[in-house]
Amino acid sequence: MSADVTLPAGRPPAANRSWRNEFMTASLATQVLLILAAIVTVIPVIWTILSSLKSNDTIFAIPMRWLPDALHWSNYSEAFEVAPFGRYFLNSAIVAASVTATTVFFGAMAGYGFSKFRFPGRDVVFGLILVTFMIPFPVIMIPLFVLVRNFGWVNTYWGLIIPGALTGFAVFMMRQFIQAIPGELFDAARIDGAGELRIFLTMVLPLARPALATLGILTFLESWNNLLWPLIVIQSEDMETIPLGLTKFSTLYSTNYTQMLAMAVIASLPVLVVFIVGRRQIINSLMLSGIKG
Amino acid sequence: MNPRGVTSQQGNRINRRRLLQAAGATGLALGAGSGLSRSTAAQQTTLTFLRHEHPPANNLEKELIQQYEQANPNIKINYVIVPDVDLFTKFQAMTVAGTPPDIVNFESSSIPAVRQRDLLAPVDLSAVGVADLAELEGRYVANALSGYVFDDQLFALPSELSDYVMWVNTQMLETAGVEAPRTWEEMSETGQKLVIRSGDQVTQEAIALPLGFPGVQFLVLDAMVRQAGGQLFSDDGREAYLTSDPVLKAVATLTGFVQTDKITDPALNGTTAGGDRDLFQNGVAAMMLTGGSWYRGTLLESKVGENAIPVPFPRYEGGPDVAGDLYGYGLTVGAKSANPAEAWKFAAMLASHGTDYFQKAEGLFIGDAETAEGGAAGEYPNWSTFKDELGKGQYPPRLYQFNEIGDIVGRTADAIIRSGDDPKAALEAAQSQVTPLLNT
Amino acid sequence: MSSLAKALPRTEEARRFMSLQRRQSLVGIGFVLPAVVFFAIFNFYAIAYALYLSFTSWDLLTPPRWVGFANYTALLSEPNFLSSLGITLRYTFEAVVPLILLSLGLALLLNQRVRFSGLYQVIYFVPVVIPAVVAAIIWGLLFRPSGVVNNAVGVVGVDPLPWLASAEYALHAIVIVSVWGGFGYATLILLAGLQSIPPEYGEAAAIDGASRWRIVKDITLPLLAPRLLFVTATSVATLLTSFVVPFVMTNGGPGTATRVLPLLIYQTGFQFLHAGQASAMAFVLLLITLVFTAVQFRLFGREVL
Repeated sequence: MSADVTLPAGRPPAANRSWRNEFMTASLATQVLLILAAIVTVIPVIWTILSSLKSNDTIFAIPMRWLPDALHWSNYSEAFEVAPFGRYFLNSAIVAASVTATTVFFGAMAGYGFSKFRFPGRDVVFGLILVTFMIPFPVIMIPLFVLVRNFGWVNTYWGLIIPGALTGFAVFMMRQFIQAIPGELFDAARIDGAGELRIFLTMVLPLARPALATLGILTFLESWNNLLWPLIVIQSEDMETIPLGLTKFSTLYSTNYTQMLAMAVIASLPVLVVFIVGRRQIINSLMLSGIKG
Repeated sequence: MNPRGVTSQQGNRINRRRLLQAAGATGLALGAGSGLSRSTAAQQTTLTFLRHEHPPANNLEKELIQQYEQANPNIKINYVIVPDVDLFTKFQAMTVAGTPPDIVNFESSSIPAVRQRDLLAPVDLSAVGVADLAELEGRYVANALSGYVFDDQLFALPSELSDYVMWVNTQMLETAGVEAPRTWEEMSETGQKLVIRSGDQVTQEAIALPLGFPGVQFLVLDAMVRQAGGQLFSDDGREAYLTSDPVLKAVATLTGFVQTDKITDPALNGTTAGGDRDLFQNGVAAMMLTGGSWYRGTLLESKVGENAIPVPFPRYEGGPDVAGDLYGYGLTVGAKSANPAEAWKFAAMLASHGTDYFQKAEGLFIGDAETAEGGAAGEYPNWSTFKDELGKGQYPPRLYQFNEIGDIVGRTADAIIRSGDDPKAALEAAQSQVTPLLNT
Repeated sequence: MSSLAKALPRTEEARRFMSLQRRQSLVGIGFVLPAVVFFAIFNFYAIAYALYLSFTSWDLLTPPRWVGFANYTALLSEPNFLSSLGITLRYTFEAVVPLILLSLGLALLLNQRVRFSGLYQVIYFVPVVIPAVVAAIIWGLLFRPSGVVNNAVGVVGVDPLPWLASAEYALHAIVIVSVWGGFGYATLILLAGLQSIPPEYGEAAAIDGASRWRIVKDITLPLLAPRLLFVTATSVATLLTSFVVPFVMTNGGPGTATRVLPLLIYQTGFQFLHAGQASAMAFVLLLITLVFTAVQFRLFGREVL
């Protein structure tokens, strides 16, 4: 990372030597520990990729086998035939992208409003919104469904998108971040006669970009992986999303593990790509965010 | 075979709904929320058909649906498939949404609960094309309809009739030089010869048990308790006998296989609902207890292939000649369906293809006499085994709260057999939990 | 604002200032309004409705029926509920401790100038990115008797464990999956926190002869406290409401050994036809989550806001 470790200036020679030795061994030990953690983290992933190329009875082989006997690339193409996964990817993409857009935009709006303005009841309302992100989903699962039913959104994109369109976490995060941005910038613009909306769109949003990126990625991730809500709301195959599709590999009659793993690999790719691309933004924003530390 | 057969229709329906609502056509907008079976233009009727996932049957049904829609241009079928374990949840969600499906392929154990709440329409005999119930009964094997008759009215057309027999791997039996056991007592002995270990690891187990799968475990246990001379519940579902001796005996038998004889290793089962079936299909277990005639199709596509045959469900030595429990699936029509006559016509169409189901879905038996006595079944190896067992099995009691009761009993059995909980204590706890849930 | 109004002299400036305040106030409200309306409908109304449902008996198939406090009083003596609650609390505690310790340790390690730091961060974050359904399926296979996990413990000389077939170990299995799936995120947050602590503090202490350990204990950790609190509070809240892994990996089994409360709520509402009681259970869970969060803020809390 970019933080520099500098040795204290004017150090006495003896202390210097022991410090450096300590540093060296610490450095080696550190690497070892980090590598160990990395290996443990990554083994399931490697196993998954290898197994997605096996045949089913290799999975059941005792003792366990790491490598496939032959590379069954057909698992991947066959997996797509189990259910209309092309459609599932589309649905997941539409829903995740929409939820991300609304969360980021309205979260920023609310975060800006809560941090840079004063109005009666501001802190109370903010506190209540904070509380919402402590609410376990099972509490509101059924009422949300009834609500969605009343709006006529069952089995539609609206039904999948709107209930997740904003979270308390998003508002919290944006408020923390924007709070750290000096307000004088905006006051200056006001004096110059700029409209409030203009200030928001052309100044606040660009300055908040690292936080927006992070929030966007986390939101996308959560939406892409969501299983429980689509399980309840979706009533027909063509509206299903990927997590639902993944459950289809395991029927009462048999479980096709290899195809399931193949599809699991594919299902994880988009989010992984999004993460790798946006990684720098995440790190930066986590460093600069207003959570004091 | 285009699995997306109904996609564009669905899309059309959604777009149309948006347009109509936007135009303020309140009548149609209200109609959009009150049921999917409705006429939107020129007598077009859409029927929603909810069914569980079983690829061979699903593929056949998609074909049949296409043909039916062509023959009946004013009918559209919205075919909804869900994993079996989610079927009831899906049904509830659709009901809460105000758009319950017109036709639901329920498992037989779910039907009492739904019927008791007056949510099912009785079979429309004229739409089905018979004069009376007796005539319809004539088309099926004995016992096929009995599970669906309430107060002398029929509420479902069987779409699947099955009972569990024991499937055995012929190769493994031959290698070990043993015959398939006919009794639970023989199972203990024979099983020892079928287990193969490599060090501490069981690499082949004698039998795979349906652990971690409460509903199925219930069926197996129910049969074994009857074989031991007792019952889990009274036939009318008003009393529970979970702490009776036959129950203890049945549970002890299964526990013995795991803990004492060690002819089965629960750890191998994995965590998916069909764990025992996976083990048998992939050549890790020599026997399994939860396959009906439909299982042959799955086997043929697996590593085991033709090396498996069905044999009678084991009995207790000297005990009553009771086979595995009967169960099945039935096509039902919702009481609130806007078009019950059309729905029953469609269901009857499906029910008339018994031979197709049997042949194309490899042994899926819908209970009709024509298939059972006719040529198709004759070509199925060991069909006589199934026929005999079908005659000797019984439907489980018709419990209104089956889901919950089945879950409690299944999990209790699981805890006793797998985790070694004390049977008496666990069953007593289960008895007190189950008592408030019994039929009244 | 009104006290300010009283304090200012009634001059032209004051009046303009006042209207500016009021205008700003309205603008602020305008910006938060969409969010507030949204939460009002989709959270607060939903919660209110859930509260109403918790006083009814409802099977989702026929209309709800009012039963007053019956659902709640039943819960007090309902063994399934109480045991599920116990399991949930045990699971949460057992997972959050290693999660935090591991994340903290890794963050401290990464905070030194190490090579490949960026690569490590990506690797640690990969489990976070993998859908929970996928993770549950994969780990279900890894925990097989002859699977990867038993091979790994075999390396250190331990006999194969029954994992998902045993009431005791199944819970540990879920804990492992949860820690694996979440530590990357916590590590990154803590690392970011560590890197915003000026290194001079630690160096000054080192010159004074303080050991590395003391530096961490007395300087680093206290400065890290707000982030630590954030990570712990959100982890606890997430664990208490964890559904997918127990559902997909063990379905609450063996027996009821891993049937955490969210899973029981789902089953009670959707399978057992007791949606009203499920709602009551959900509210109890909400209460517990709020209490835990409040306790954490009180114990370790400082100005996180």
